[in-house]
Amino acid sequence: MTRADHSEQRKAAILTGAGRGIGKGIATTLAERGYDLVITSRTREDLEVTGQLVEQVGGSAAIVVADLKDPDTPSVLLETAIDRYGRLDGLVNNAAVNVFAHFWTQSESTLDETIATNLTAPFYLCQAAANYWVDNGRGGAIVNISSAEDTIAYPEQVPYACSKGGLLSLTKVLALEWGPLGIRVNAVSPGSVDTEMTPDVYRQEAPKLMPIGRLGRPEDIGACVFFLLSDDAAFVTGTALYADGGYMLQ
Amino acid sequence: MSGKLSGKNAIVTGVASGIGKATAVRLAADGANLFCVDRDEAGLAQLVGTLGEGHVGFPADLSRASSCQEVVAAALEHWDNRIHILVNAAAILIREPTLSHSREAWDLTFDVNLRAPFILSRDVAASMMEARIQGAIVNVASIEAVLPGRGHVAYTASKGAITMLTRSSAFEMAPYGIRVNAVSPGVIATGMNADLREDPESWSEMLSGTPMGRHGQPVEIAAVIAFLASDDPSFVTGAIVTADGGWTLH
Repeated sequence: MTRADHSEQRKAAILTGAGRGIGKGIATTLAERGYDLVITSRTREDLEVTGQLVEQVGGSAAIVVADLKDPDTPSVLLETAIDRYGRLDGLVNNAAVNVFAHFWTQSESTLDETIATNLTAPFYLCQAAANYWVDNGRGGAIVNISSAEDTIAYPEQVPYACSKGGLLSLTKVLALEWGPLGIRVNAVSPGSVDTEMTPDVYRQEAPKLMPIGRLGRPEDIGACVFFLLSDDAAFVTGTALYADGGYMLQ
Repeated sequence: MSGKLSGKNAIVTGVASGIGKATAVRLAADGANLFCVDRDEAGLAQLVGTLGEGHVGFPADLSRASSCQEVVAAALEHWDNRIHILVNAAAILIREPTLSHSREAWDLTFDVNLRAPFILSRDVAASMMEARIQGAIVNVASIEAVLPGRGHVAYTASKGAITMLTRSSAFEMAPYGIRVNAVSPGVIATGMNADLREDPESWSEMLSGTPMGRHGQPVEIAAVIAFLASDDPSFVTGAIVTADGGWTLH
């Protein structure tokens, strides 16, 4: 532990979608590098596993089981951070849903659900965090977990691609508006990451599609999130950091 | 010294001033061993003197291809064929209106800003492959690759070119675990704009419309370079990380 961020007082961040996949990797990376967390998802069992991982690396995790589509969720998460840690330094919007189906069979309810979770929920969470920072006369940092699909297309994921395109635009417009307030807003846009949701057949085939020859690890994304939250990224705002193993170079 | 770059051997060009200088200081603080390059011998000696023991200064005029090759050869000899990091920070900006932009200015700009990074990257990458080192190359692009500066035609074109040098070399080197990324700085207080900053009123007026409302400091770009040079972004290659305080958002 050599970086300044490690030795200073611990910071606090809200992380959504913390129960599985990339969210779990972000949680452990942030916790071992000096963040205490408010973690949320819809499934308590998943959050308890993440909470144990966070505690194993010396962090604290306040568990909030919540539906991000509930309009009360942002204030519950914020109040939990303040009650538990007395502060909020960062917000990481990671939760997302993706329903695979041909475009001509996608339902409008899937579109509504995808936009609500992947785009509308981050919007209101960003708003809640920014209001807290403004009210307290301080800045803050937000990282939205977008996707390589904010720029490039894959088949059978139209609602997801729309939501990520929107999230990238949201990131930019909030960075523009909140730059003068000292609130930085950036995105990490992952390519293919190996998680417990990755099908085995894909796990075997996908590395051949990646210039770097492997899938990403959740911790790879966590390291990028940590950088963008940190003061090392003090002049970085409105940027998408693509962590895709070079996939988009092809 | 222990740090996240502890034990890594790094070549940094353009260390006598600006972003290159701040980068050398930061990488040394993070524990790297430095091979510092600049044509300004006095500035080079001054910088190396501040870094402490174990760092090398190598005067070279990177507008000459033979000098670029000598840099890599000398670094390889010094470090027994082991280079882990290359940072191409050296660049020149010659302001001349496009219609009267001289051939000499164009050629010199491209020799320093594109051909030198090309040769250095090529020879360093070859050495990394030979030594089976999964190294990192970091180029310094510019937001001028997206938003041109008036009278900066050669500089702007060279920065567009280094953006694609980054992406195309990243694509080819990815299977060998060699990552190539770029930082794209916005307006940073360096020698390139020292004359413009002498008129504080017009300078601050220029910056007032940008989200952060200020210029960046070289150390803020050095911090992004230190991240890209480290093992943290292990799934990031071919990325262009914009660090502009939101300048290019609108």
